[in-house]
Amino acid sequence: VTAVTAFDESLLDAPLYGLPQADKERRLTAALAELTAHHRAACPSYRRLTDVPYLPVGLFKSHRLASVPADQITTTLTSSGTTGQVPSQIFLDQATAHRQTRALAAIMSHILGPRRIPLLIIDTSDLLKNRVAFSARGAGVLGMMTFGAQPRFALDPGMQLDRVVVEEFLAKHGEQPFLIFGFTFMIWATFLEQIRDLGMDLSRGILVHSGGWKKLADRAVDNPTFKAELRRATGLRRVYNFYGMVEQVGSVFLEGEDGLLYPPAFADIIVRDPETMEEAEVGSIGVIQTVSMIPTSYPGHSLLTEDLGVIERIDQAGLPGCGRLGKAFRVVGRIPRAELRGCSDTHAATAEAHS
Amino acid sequence: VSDSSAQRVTVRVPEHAELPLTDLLAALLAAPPSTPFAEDALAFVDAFSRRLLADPISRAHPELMALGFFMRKAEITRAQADRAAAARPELVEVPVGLVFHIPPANVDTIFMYSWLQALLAGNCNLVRLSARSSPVVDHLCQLLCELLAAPAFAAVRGRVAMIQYRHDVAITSEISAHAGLRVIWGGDATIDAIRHAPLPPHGRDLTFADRFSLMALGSTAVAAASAAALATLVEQLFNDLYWFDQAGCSSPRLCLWIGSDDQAAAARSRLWPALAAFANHRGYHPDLAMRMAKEVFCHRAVLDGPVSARRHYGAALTVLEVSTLEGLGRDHPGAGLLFEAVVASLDELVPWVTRKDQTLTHFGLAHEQLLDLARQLAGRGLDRMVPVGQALQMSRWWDGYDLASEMIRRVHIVK
Repeated sequence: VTAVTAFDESLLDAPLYGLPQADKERRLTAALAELTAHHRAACPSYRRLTDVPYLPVGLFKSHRLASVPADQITTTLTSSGTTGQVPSQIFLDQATAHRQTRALAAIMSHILGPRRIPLLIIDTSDLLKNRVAFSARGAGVLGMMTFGAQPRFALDPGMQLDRVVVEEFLAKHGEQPFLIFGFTFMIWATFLEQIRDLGMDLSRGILVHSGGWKKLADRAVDNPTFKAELRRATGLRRVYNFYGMVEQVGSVFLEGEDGLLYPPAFADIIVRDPETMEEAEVGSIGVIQTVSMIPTSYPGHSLLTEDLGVIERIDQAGLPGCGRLGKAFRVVGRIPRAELRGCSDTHAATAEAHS
Repeated sequence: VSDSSAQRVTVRVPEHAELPLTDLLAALLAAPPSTPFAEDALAFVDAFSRRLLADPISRAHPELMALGFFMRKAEITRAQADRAAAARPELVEVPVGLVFHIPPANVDTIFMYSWLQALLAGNCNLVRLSARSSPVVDHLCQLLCELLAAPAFAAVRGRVAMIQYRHDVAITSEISAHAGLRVIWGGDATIDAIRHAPLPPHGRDLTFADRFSLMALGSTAVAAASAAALATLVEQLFNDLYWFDQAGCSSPRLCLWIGSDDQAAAARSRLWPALAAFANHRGYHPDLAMRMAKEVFCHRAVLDGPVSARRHYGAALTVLEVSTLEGLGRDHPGAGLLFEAVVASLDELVPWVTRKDQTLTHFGLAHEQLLDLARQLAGRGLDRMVPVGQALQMSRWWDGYDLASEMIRRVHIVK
C-alpha cells in the first residue's frame, strides 16, 4: 500500500466562499484527479471499479473501503440510519481526521468568528458513551464540541428538555453570542416544543443544525417556517442549516443568509440529470454528487448521493450580506423509493408478522 | 395465537362483504362436490376468457391478454384431450377438496391461473389477495363478480371466495387446517412463514419459491440472423425481460453465449444495442430509484463477483460480462441488467446450476442439446426450457409441477 501521495491542498487555505467557480473548478479538478490516482493505487477495491466517476454512497454500507492499512485507521464512523438499515462504515486516519478538523474550523469560524463561544448542544451526553465507533450523530456533536467552549447538553438521557441546564446556560452566557447545535428534527420536535412557552431568550444565539428535512416535510414544516417559528418563540435570528453526510467527511454545505446552501472552497456539488446522469442545467432538479479533497484514507472524494437537489445560481452573490461565490443550491429531498414488482419477497411483511 | 372464530375478513369475490371467517369457511366446505372438467366450470372459464379478451382495459395490460389466451376454449379443449388420452380405466379422478391459494402481491395475474386450474379440477377455492390492491386486481375482481352473478354459474359461485386480510397467523392457520392443497407463491420467507400453519394430515403444499432464470443464445445464430429475424428476436427478448421490470422469476438475468469468444463478440455487438434501442422505442424507462439500485448493485457485483467488463446501453440495459460462472451469485436488482458469459457449449452450465434455477429461454440451439442438458442436470435445477419470447408465458407445467394434475386426486379401482 502506498503512502498518501502529496497533493495540492492549497484550497484548504483559500477563501471559503470567495473563489469564482471556474477558478475553483480548475484547482479542485486537479486535486481530485490526484486523489483518484491515490485511491486507485492504495485501495484494491477502488482499483477494481475502473473508470467510475463517483461511488454510490450505498457502497459504504456493504463494503469496507479503505485506502490506508488497517493499523493506520484511528476512527471508524458509522451512519445512524433507521433501525434495520445497515450503516455505512467510514475509516479515518490521522491525516484525514486532521484535514476534516481544519475544514470544519474554517467553515465554523466563517459564521462564529475566530473566538470559541459557549456551546449548547440539543442532544444528550449519552450519545458520546461509545468512544470506539461513533454514530454520525455522535461524530457531528463531537466535531462541533471543538468549536464551542464549555459545552452543555440540553436534553436528558430520556431525550426530554433538561430545563435546569438550559436556564443555567442562559443565565451565564445568554447576554453574549453563543452557539447552539443539534439535529433539525430534534430541534423542532423536542427542543422548540418544550421551550416554546417558557419565554427563554435565545436572541444572541447562533443555531447550526443538520439532519435532513424529511420528517419535517411530513409535518409540512419547511426552512422558512422553521426559522420563523424559532424566531417568534425564542428571538433566535441567526439560524444556519447545513447539508452533509458521514460518507464524505468535511463536505459541509452551509446555508447562506439567502437560505441557499454553499460548498466551501475544497468541496463542491454536481447535480446530475436523473435521465442521462449528465450534469444538469442550473435550475434543474437532479441527483446530487458531492466531491471533496478531504478524504484520503478511504475513496470518498467523489460520491453519488441518494438525494435530489437543484443548483439555483453560480457566482452570483445572493442577497445583501451574503456575498458568496460559487454554486448556490437547495436539497429537494430523497430519491423516492421504487415500488417493487416481481414474484419474490412480495409478502415480506407477512413473513415478518408470522415470524 | 388469537381466537380466529370471531375474525372477520374482507370478501372481494363473489361479492363484496365483511364476513366472519368461520361462516365463510363453513359455506365453502358445504358446497356440493364437483368433478374435474365439469360443464359449469368449463363454461365459466370460457365466458371469463371471452370477457377478458374483448375487454378494452385488457388491451392496455399484456398480462391480462395472456391470461385470456391461456384460458380460451381451444386451449382448455386441448388440455382435456391430453387428459383423455392419458386416462386409465382403473382410475377415477376427483377433486382434492379445498384449495387455499396464496399468490404473490405484485404479479397481478398469477392468482387467476392458480385458482382457475383448481376450479377446472372441481375444487373449492379460497384465494388470499394481497391487502394492497392494484388496479388490475380490482378490475379482475369486478369482472369475476359480474360473471358469477349469472344464474348459470350459481354452483361455481359457491366454490370460490377471494378475500383480503391483514397478516394474521390465526386466519392463515384456520384456513390451512381445512385445505387439501395449499398453493404458496414466494418469496422464500413467505413460504417458511406460511408453513408454520399446519395442514390436515392429507394436505399438501405446492410451493413456488424465489427463482433465477437465464437465457442461452447460439452466437452464430444471432450473428447470422437476418435484419427481420434480429428484429423479432429483440422484441421477444424485450417481452422476456421488461414486462415486470425483470423482477419476474422467469425473466432471464444471465445470458449465455454458446460458441467461441469471437462469435459471441460479433453477436453481442449486434444484439445489445438493438435491444436497448427497442426498449427506448417502447418507452421502457425504469424509475430513478430502480436505476440507482442498479448502479449500486453493479458496483457491488464488480467488487464481489467474477465481473470482467461492464457495458452500459442507456438507462434500460446494463450488461456485466463474467469471465467464469464460478462464483457468480444470483442476487439481482431487476430493471434491465444482464450478466453474460461465453461458453463453448451448454455442458459448461451444468456445474453451476442449482435447484433455484427455473427457466432457460433459448434461441438458435438444437432440441437435442436441451434434452441432453436436462438429462445431465438430472434434477439439480431448471424446470422449464422455452424459446425466447415465452419466458413469462404461464403454462400448466411450472416449477416442476403439472398444475392440472396436482389439483386432482385419483381413486384406484381394481376389478
